[in-house]
Amino acid sequence: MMEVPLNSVRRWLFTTNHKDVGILYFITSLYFLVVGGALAVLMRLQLMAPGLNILQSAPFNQAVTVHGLVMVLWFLSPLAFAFANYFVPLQIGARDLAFPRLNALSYWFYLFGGLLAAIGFFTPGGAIDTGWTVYAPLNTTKYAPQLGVTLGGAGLLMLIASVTMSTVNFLVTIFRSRAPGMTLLRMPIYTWGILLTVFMMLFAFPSIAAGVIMLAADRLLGTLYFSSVEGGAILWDHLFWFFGHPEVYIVLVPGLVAIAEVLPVFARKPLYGKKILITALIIGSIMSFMVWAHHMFVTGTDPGFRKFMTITTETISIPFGVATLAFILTLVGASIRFTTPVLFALGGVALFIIGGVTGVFNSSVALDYYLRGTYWIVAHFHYTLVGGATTGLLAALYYWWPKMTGRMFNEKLGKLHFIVYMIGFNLLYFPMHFLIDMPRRVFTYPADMGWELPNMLSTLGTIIFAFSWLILFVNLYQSLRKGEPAGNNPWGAWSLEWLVPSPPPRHNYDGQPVVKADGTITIQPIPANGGHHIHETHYSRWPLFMSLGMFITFLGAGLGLPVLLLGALILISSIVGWAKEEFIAVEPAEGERWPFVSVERVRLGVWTLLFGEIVLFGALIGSYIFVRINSATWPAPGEFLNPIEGAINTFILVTSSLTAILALAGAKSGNQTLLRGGLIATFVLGFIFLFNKGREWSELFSHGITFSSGLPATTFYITTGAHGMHVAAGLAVLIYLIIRAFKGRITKENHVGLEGFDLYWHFVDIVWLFLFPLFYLI
Amino acid sequence: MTAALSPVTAQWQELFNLYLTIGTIVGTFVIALLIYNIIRYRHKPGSPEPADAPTPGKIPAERGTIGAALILTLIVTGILFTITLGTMETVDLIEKPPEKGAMVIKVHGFQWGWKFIYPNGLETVNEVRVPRDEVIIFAVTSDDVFHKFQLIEFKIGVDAIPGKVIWIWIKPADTGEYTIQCFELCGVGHAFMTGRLIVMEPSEFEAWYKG
Ligand code: HEM
Ligand SMILES: [Cu+2]
Ligand SMILES: [Cu+2]
Repeated sequence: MMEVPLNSVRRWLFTTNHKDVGILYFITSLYFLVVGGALAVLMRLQLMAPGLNILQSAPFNQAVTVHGLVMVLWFLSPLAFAFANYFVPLQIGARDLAFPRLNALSYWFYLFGGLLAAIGFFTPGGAIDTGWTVYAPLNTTKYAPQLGVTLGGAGLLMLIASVTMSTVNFLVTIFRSRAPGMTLLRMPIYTWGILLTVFMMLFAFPSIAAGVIMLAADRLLGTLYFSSVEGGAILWDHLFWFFGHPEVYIVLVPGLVAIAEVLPVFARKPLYGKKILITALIIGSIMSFMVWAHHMFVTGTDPGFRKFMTITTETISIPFGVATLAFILTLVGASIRFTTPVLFALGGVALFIIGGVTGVFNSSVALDYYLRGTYWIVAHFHYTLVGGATTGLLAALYYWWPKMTGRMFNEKLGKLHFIVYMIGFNLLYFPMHFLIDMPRRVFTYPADMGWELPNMLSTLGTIIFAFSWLILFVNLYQSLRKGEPAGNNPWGAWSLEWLVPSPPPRHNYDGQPVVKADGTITIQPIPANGGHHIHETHYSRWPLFMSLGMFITFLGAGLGLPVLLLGALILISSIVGWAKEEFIAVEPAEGERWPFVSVERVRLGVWTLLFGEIVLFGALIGSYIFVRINSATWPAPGEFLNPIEGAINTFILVTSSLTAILALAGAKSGNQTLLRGGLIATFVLGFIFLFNKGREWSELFSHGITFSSGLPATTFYITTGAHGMHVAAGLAVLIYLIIRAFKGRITKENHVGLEGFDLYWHFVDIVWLFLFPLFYLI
Repeated sequence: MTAALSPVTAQWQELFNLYLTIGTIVGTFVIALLIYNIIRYRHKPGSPEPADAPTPGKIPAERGTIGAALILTLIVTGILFTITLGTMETVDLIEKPPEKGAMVIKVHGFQWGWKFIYPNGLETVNEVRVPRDEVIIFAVTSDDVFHKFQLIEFKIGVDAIPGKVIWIWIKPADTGEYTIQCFELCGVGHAFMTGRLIVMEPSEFEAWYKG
C-alpha cells in the first residue's frame, strides 16, 4: 500500500480519493472551458463583420467542431461530475465512491481523451472538422482523409470509456453506500439529478460508442458502413442522435438540480415539490430516448414517425416546464438572501425559460423544415446549455467553493461577475434569434443580407462575456490566497456535507452518519474496535499508467506500429499491476440499499456494465439490420458463411457457459477440483471458439472477401469481431481467475470475482445466440 | 411581403407567428412571475426566518401536493396542445403538393454547388428558373455528402442526402430573384454553397425553357 505526502505532486497523480478526483475534474474542466472559449472568441471575431479574414474556412470548421465537442463533453459534463465526485459520497454519508481506482481511471481517460482530440490541431490537415455531430459521409476518409478526424474518434472512444466507468461507479455508490436512514427520497436533489444523469449515460453512450467503432473500422480497415448509401448518412444520424438527444439532457439535468440545490438554502424555504420535481425529471429522462428523430425531421423519415416524434418532443417539454414552475414556487413565502450563488441560480432559471420557449418552436416538424441549420438553433441551444446548465453549475461552484477550499470568495466580485455575465450573455446570444435566416457553421457571410448588426452585437457580447469569466478566475485566485475562513456551514444549509469541516477530512466522517426516522442527521462514533476506515487505500499509480498506455496505443494507430506496441506494453503491464495491487475500498457494513438489498458491490457493477453492453450490441445489430433492409440484394444463407461450422462453434460456446457454471458451483461448495477443472475447461472451449473464428476469417480472406467487399462482409466482420473481442477479454480475465484458483484464493466465502465473470460470460454467449442465426441462417 | 410568396411560406409564417405570440406571452408571464417573487420575497432587515427554513443536520419538510402537480402539468399541456394542432396542419400542407402533373426539378447538391435537372433534360448549375404561379416540385438529393437545400425567402428547406430523394414544393407568387443556400456543414466550401432561384413570368419562362 502506497503512502503519499499531502503536499506532493504524486498525491495528485496517484490519488483515488473522491474529493481529490473531484478537484482534478474541476480544474481540468475549467481548462477545457478556456480552450473551447478561446476557439469561440476566435469564431465570433471572424463573424463580427462580413468578409473578415481572421479564421479561414478550414480552421473555422476545425474551431467550430472542437469548440462544440470540448464544451459539451470535456467542459460541461465534467464540471457537473467534478461536483458529483466531491459531493455525492458526502451527501449520502459514504466514505468514497464504490470503486475508487475505477474513478481515478475515469478521470485519466477523460483527460487523455481530450488531449487526443486536441492534438489534431498539430497534425497535417488539422483537427477534426466535421462539426461536433460528425455527420456521415463527411466523416469518411474520402471526404476527410486527415489524421485529425481519426484522433478525434480515438479521443471520443476514451471519453466514452471514461463515462461508462463513471456510470457504473455512481450507480453502485448511490445504490449501495447510503448511510443508514438515507432513503432514496431523502437524498439531496443534486445527488438525485446525478443518479438520473448516469442512468441516461448508461443507455445513451453505448450508441455513440457503436457509431464511433464502426466509423473507426471504416477509416482504418476500409469497411463500408458510412460510405455506402445503404448505411451512410441516415445510419449515422440514428446512432448519433439516439445518443445526442439524451446527451443534451445529460448536460442539462445537473445544471437544473444545482439550481434546485442552491435556491432553497438562500430562499430559506424547502424546495417546492421535491417529489414532483423528481418525478418530472424521471419522466424527462425516460422520454429523452423517445425523441431523437426530431433532429432528423427533414431527412425524409416516415411521416407518421415524424409526427410521433413531434408529439413526444412537445410532451417532453412538460416535465421541464413543471420543473421551472417548481423553482418559482419555491420562492413563495421565502426570505431570499441575495448572495452570489442564488443570483446565478435565479439567473439560470430566467435564461432557461427563454431557451425552453425557443425549444418548443424546434419541436414542431413544420417550423423545423426551415429552422434546422440556422443561427436560431445556435441561439436556442446556448440559452439552454450555457444559460441554463452552465449558469446553474456556476451557482453550484460559488455555493460549494467554501466547502472545497475552506475559504470564502469576495461577494462584491461575485455580484459583479453576475451582472457582467448576464449582460454579456444576452448581448451575445439574444441577437442570434434575429439571424434566423443565416446558416450556422459558416465562416463568413455576404454583406447584403442584413446580418451585420446582430453579428456585430453578438461579438461585442462575446467580449463582455469572456471578461466576466476573468472576474471569476480573479475572485477564485484571491480567495485561495487570502479568503476568509469559511467554517463548516457558512450558508446555513441542511445537507450532510455541511456537517463536517471545510475542506472535509480525507475519510469524510469521524464516525458513521445516520439519519433518524424524524429526519435528524447525526454522526455516530464508531466503536473503537470497528474503526475500519484507517486501513482504506487512497492512492494507486495504475489508473494513470493504464490511461497513459491507452493514450499511446491510440496515438500509435496513427503514428505506426512501434508506438502502438509501446502503448500496448504499458497498458498490459499496468493491468497486471492493477490486478496484483492490494487495494482496500470500504464496503459499508450497513446502510440503505433499496432496491438492491442483497446485491454485492461487484455484482451490481457487472450488472450495470452489462446493461450498457446490451445497448452497444443492440446498436451494432440494429445497424446490421438497417443496412440489410436498405440493400437491394444480400447473399443467401450458406453462400459465404458455413452454417454447419457456425453451429458447431455455437455449441462449443454454449458448452463453455455450462463449464463456467460448474466452476462457480465448485467455488460455492468448496470443491477446488471442480472449480479449477471448470475454469480450465471454460478457457479451452473459449479458446477453441476463437481459434475457429480465426480460421473462418482467414479462409474468407483467402477467397478475397475482405472488410471492404460489400456490406455483408462489413457487417459480418465488425459485429462478430466485436463479439470476438469480448470473448478474448473474457479469456484474459479467465487467466487471472485460474491463477487465483490455483493459489487457493477463490473460496467458499470469497468468489465475487468469479460470479461477476460468470455473468459476463453468459452475456457474451447470449449475444452469440443472436448473432449466429442473424448471420448464418437467414 | 415574403409571407405571400408561396402557400407554404404563408402557412409557415403564420405558424411561426402563432408560436412567437404564445411563446412571448408565456415566456414574459413566467419571467415576470419569477421577478415578482424575487422582489416580493426578498430578505428585509429584521424579517424573521420562515418557520420551515433549512436547518443544519435535518432533512427539510415536504412542500407541494399532487394536486398542485396536476394543475401545473395541465397548464403546460394545454398550451402545448394548441400549438401542436397548428403544426400538424402545416406539415400536411408542406408535404402534399396540391396539384398533380406539376413540374419536377431534380436538385443535386455537390461539394460545393447545386445542379438542377429539368424534366426535358436541361441542366443548370447554381441557378434555377421557374415560372410564377405554378407548382414546382424540387426533388432533392446529394452526389457526395450531407447538405441542406434551403430557399431562404420561401422559409422552406430540406436535407440533401446521398442515395435519398426528398421532395418540397413551392408556388411562387412574385417574380424576382431569391437566395438558395446550403444549411448543413459540408466541408470547406460550405459558406459559399449558394445559388439563385429566379421566378419569371410564365410566358418568359416558356420562351427560356424551350429555347
Ligand atoms: C464563451 C462562450 C461561447 C461562445 C462565444 C460560443 C460561440 C459559439 C459559436 C460562434 C458557435 C458556432 C455556431 C455554428 O456556426 O455552428 C458555437 C457553436 C457551438 N457551441 Fe458555443 N459558444 C460559447 C460557449 C459555449 C458553451 C459553454 C457551450 C457548452 C455547452 C457551447 C456549445 C456549443 C455547441 C454544441 C456548438 C455547436 C458546434 C457545432 O455545430 O458543431 N458553446 N458556439
Ligand atoms: Cu434533441
Ligand atoms: Cu453545406
